[in-house]
Amino acid sequence: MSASASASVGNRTSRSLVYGFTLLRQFTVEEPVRGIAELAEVLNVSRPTAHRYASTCLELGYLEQAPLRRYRLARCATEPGLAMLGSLALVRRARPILRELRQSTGCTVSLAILDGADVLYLQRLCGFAHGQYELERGLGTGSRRPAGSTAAGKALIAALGESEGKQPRGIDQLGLVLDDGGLRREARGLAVAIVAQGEPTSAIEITVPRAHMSAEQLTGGLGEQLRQAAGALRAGTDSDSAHACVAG
Amino acid sequence: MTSMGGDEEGPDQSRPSPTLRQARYSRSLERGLAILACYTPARPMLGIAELAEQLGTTRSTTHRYVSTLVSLGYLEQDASRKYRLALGAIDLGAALNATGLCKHARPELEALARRSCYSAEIAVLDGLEILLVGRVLAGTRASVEATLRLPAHCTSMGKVLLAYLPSEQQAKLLSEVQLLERGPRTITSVAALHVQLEEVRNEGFAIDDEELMEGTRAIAAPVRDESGDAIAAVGLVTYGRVIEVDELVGRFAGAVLTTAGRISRQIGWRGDGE
Repeated sequence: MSASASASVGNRTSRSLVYGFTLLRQFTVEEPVRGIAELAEVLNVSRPTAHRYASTCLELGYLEQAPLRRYRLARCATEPGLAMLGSLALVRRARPILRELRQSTGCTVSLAILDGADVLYLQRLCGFAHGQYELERGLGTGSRRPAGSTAAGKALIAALGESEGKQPRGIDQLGLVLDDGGLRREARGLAVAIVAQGEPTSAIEITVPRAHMSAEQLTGGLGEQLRQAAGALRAGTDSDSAHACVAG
Repeated sequence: MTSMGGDEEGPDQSRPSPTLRQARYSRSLERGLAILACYTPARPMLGIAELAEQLGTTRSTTHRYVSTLVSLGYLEQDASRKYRLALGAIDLGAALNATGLCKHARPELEALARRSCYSAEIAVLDGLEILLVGRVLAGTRASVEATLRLPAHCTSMGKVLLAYLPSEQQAKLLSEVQLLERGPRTITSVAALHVQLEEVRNEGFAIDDEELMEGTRAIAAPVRDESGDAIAAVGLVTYGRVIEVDELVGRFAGAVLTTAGRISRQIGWRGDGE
């Protein structure tokens, strides 16, 4: 059993579930296609055992067959995440606001929270302006990035520090935080944190191609729209902050 | 190395696996995944008794699976002692969300191309152009992660995506676009294009009648994301194979709309039940 899997096993734990879910976790953006031999090696189980879990996931629609008898994630794997997001009041409230922001700017817009050292994107709506789609490769709703490498993460960290009485850094007078190439070398991000009951709960972020928009154009041209969107989301966020920021 | 002879089970092992023999199937994993599938936005909180009833398992067995899912970060318990999905549930399919539209669309495009014997494609709007992000060529099963750029104004997929833009954004793009002639019937007047985009919104699909190139016709419909916005378009393209527009619409409009609807649902659209 792998270190990650064995650490979770206790008396009241289903070993099969731990193996099965550990297997599913091996399918990542970097390694989207996996074969039985490598899955068996990662899980430290025999190939027939790995095959049994993969076959079960295949049968239930969580995996699908890829060429050369390998496997990749299938559509059922996204359903628990969609159900989770659909149950969050914060996400439900943010959807029309993000949608309007995307429609008015043509840019990719997202809602993010802090989850440990990461930023977790609860929503990412891809823009339709020139260069936006190609920036989204490897990202999407549910993606994580180190908090310090994104505008949203920087905004949340700054707001968290401010709530603890620290002097916020990297944040302008209007509450906007810029990231230049941290999320992706070709990308530029602008974010603002949503603070409810004195605590940062989430952040809204706009992402643009650096080649098409300077930092000044982004801040000056879209900063006010971003702040208005954040204001709309802030109104009434207090009631759902607890569940939304459970891991923040 | 661990080699488990049989799947660990609770006391109620009589429920048969769907199709596979026991040796090739983990019923425990099936039940764990089934527990996650019990949760919907309408039913975000479930207790052990409710889950046990829905799964047809004992409370003790259900509790063990639920405890495991909690330890793995997929479920969490709230103050009422019921369970809800935790943030880890998002991670489960995050890699699939991040692999792009082509992955979600591939099986549907393959089916459309196979049924129609024409090429099935999916594209997104990228400013004044469309970016072809997936394609299944007629007569093959090969799906291509293409990144071909084409002008939006003379392709069926481009016209769909322009038609469903917010009016302000559409007006901005139409004020910038150069309607260069690409095929014998390319629309070269902004006024005429505007009228046609209105028709596209009314009909729900767009036609390319030799507007991109001679002898090629196409039909396209919008793919919507969870917000309801048209974020991509699915097109059926004839590439020089003779078919009249009326026949193209009559035979394939329904299939293209259905394909676009299926892909929309896969990427989270929970719309009007089209």
